[in-house]
Amino acid sequence: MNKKTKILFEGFTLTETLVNIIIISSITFSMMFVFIQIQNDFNKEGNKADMISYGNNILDDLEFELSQSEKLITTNQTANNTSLELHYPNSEQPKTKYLISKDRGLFKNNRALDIFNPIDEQNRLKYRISDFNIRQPSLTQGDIWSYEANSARFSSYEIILEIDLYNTNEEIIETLQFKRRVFSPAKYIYNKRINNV
Amino acid sequence: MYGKFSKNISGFSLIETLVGITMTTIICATLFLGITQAKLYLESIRIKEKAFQELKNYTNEWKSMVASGVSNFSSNSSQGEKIALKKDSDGKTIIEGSLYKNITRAANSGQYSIYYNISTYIVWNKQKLFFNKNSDLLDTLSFNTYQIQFHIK
Repeated sequence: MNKKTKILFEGFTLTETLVNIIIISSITFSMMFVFIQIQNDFNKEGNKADMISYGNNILDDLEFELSQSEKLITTNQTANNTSLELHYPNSEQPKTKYLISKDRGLFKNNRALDIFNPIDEQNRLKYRISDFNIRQPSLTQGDIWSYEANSARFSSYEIILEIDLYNTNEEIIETLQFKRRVFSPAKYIYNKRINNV
Repeated sequence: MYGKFSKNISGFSLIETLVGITMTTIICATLFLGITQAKLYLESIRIKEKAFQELKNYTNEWKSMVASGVSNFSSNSSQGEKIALKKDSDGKTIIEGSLYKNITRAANSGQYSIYYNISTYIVWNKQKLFFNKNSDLLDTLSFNTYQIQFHIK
């Protein structure tokens, strides 16, 4: 009976406890490492998905408006901001104003077109527009060189958009590149009318 | 009495431990395989999205050419027009697509209302997944549209 009581109250030895602590610690650290990696990957993928969706949304809108408009005027251009005005063939249709801010995203007629929150809860930069440009499509090797082909290029736009993605140390980890080519029949007719005059 | 308690306080046997480790390994491996597979699928969707945009740009370019009166369209080389669909951090192309076009005057195109049938497509090598080891598996997207030629006097 005495022996039974002795066995039941026997605790762990120092070696057992130390081995246990080492095993638990290594498992915990491994799990924490994996968890942090997954969390970082998840945040990165989340930001990337948000910016791909944002870039496509604003370019879809710009593409639609540009294809309808006959004239694009850059009213203001600074290192961080670009202001555009689109004029339409129908004079009764009000002009569309765009403001593209590298820090605040795109605004259409003074309203944000989509959600753009470049700062996280800890006040760290998540993403930033690094380049925005609308220009006439450049001539590349193999392109048709004729009066008609040049007219087509003069009536088209090439939109370039680049968004930098940052990690938690605010270092650039990836740059998303978007490119759109838009043909504007209204601009083509406008150019022809001007040339004929 | 002692013998009974002695049996109860003994730890896991080697076989039990090995079975436990094996089961944990299998579960972890399945989990990580699933995560990696999902990431690869996501990447392949992004590549398809990029291919779609490139094909849209290419089609828009040829629509503008037809609209403005270009009528002689050279046929594509067998390689097509190369375009990068995925690049690494150094800007080196990892996945490349080939763009092709076939522009013909539409059968019902009249003397005054001339319009063309524009058929474009893009082909790229599908990214290899774990259960898809075939290296020559191609993916494709195609557009088939019509564009009228403008006559502005």
